[in-house]
Amino acid sequence: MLVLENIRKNYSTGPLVTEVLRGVWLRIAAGDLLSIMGPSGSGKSTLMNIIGLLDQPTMGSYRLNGQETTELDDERLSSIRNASIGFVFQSFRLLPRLSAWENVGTPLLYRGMDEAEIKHLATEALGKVQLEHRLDHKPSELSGGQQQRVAIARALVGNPTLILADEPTGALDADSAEEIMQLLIDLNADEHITTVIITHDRKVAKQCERCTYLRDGLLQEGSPSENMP
Amino acid sequence: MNAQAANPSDLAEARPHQPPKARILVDLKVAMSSLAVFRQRAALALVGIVAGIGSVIVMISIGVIVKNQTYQQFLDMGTDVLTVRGIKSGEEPAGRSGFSLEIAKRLSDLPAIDAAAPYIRVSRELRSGGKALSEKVELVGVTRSFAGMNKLNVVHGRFLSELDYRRSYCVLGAQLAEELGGTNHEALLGTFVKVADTVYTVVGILQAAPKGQRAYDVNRSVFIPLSTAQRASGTSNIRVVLARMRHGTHYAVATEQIEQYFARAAPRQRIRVRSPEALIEKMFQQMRMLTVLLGTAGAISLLIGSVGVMNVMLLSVSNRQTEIGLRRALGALRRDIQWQFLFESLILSIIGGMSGTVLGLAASYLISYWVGWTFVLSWMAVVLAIVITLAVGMVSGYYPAYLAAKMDPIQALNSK
Repeated sequence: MLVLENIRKNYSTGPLVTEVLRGVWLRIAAGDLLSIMGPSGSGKSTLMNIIGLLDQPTMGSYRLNGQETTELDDERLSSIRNASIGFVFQSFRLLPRLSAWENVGTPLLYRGMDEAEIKHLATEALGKVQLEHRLDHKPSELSGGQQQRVAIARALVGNPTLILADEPTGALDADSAEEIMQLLIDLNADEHITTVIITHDRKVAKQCERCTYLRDGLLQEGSPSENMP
Repeated sequence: MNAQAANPSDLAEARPHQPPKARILVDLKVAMSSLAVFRQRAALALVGIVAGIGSVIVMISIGVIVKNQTYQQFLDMGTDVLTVRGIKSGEEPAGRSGFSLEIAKRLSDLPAIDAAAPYIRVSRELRSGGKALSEKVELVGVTRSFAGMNKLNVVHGRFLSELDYRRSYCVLGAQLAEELGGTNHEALLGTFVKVADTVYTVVGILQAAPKGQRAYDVNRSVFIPLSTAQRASGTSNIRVVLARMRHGTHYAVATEQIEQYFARAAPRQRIRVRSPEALIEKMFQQMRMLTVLLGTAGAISLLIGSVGVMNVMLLSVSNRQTEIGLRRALGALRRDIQWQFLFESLILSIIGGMSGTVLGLAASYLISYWVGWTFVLSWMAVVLAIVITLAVGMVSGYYPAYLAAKMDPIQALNSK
């Protein structure tokens, strides 16, 4: 479903070239639940941006659903993001002025759906994260855990093939973090949506069926304990 | 979940070809919801636009209203009547300037002239019933054709005729009649008024007439036979004569004939021919220049307003980087972001433009009402306001929208 081959990413600052990713190889099957761990500066975010089609590698191949993405232009990448990828961010990234269902429905807006249709699908997605009773609440009226649930519903609403969660529990207390992790695991099991979790938390990584560890721009597969320095 | 995105690659293929109209509607919807939230900021941006459009509307409207007002004054007098005035050349002896009544009357023999109405006018004190009126009145010596040429209508009695040669008869202007006889004007007929030691019998009362472009107020005038006026003033010379052109004659042709006629009949007398049409043309030229000047002043204030809108839009883009990054991550195209911000700027400008237009028209109406002018809705001003509004919205919004669209989604998402 998702194949990364020899992904390299360099950043140039004047004459100085920094190699952030030095040849990442990764194959994720449909329905996998995978974690990517690594210390700060290891290139986790860069890898996530490439997997999420927000950035392009300097070199290498990335096929999503069998389609080579490295040759696509910005418009096509935006379209694939909208159709196939759901993002969950550490700090939720909800638009404060919109209600829960409006936030959830934002990706559908760019599919040209009408409001009734969007509300119907957003309500359905909020039901999957047990927030159907909070449809009209603004983010400020929700707890951190609830906000992250709304963000997960937003990732789910477009029926994506891949959910990319960047430190999804990073901004939550222990109880909420556990709850959110369980929700992601359950959704992966129930909806069979491929889920990639980027985290620095070993406990979080451990809950995924596949764990990878990114160090010095290279990705290694194995359990968190095996890879942790 | 239904199958809206069941086959992602299909969707990815199909979406860029979504009809632009549908996408633009989405961007418009997003822009409207954003503006609804940033009301305070939007209101601030509006102030400049409202003031700019408002002042353009007021300036142009008032320009048009004044133009119409002045034009109407000319029309009230008739645009086919030329005024021929004898001017001093310095050669004639004192008291001898002007021309003879005969020369004046024979103007009507010219092919371009239909009728001539010479007149003499002086300001004098008027007494009636032993009392003097507080303000002096105009004593105007006229011939029969004067009334028709000046569009003066008699409401009671009659106007003067050639049969009143050297008789002490007079016709009173409407306001003067009111000052002398209250509401019962008819009762004034046959009574006497004393002007400059001469007693006149009132034979007619005029209907109130617009002042027009005349140098005196016909409503406060006492009209007497020209022959009587000549005798009273001790001079037979005429300095002013009104000449009505034949239908379809151009004022330049008539003017040329009059000048040639005077060059022959009174070679030592310099004259000036004034045509309402020439004056109107000149006035319109001046008004056009005034409108351009006023419009320029309004445009400058609009420029300041549009800089304000651009500032607010730049601030908005800068403050909403995370939103831009998020929308891009969720699938918004660069042009969606560009249209969203462009629409925000356009909506702001349209609201500002509409408010400014309404305020400007209201202010123009109030000014007209206060000064006593007839209010005219200037469609030119309204159309100009619409064009300027859209232009300001596009110009002020384009650069901020371009910046927003160009933003790297990753950097935008990570901005604080």
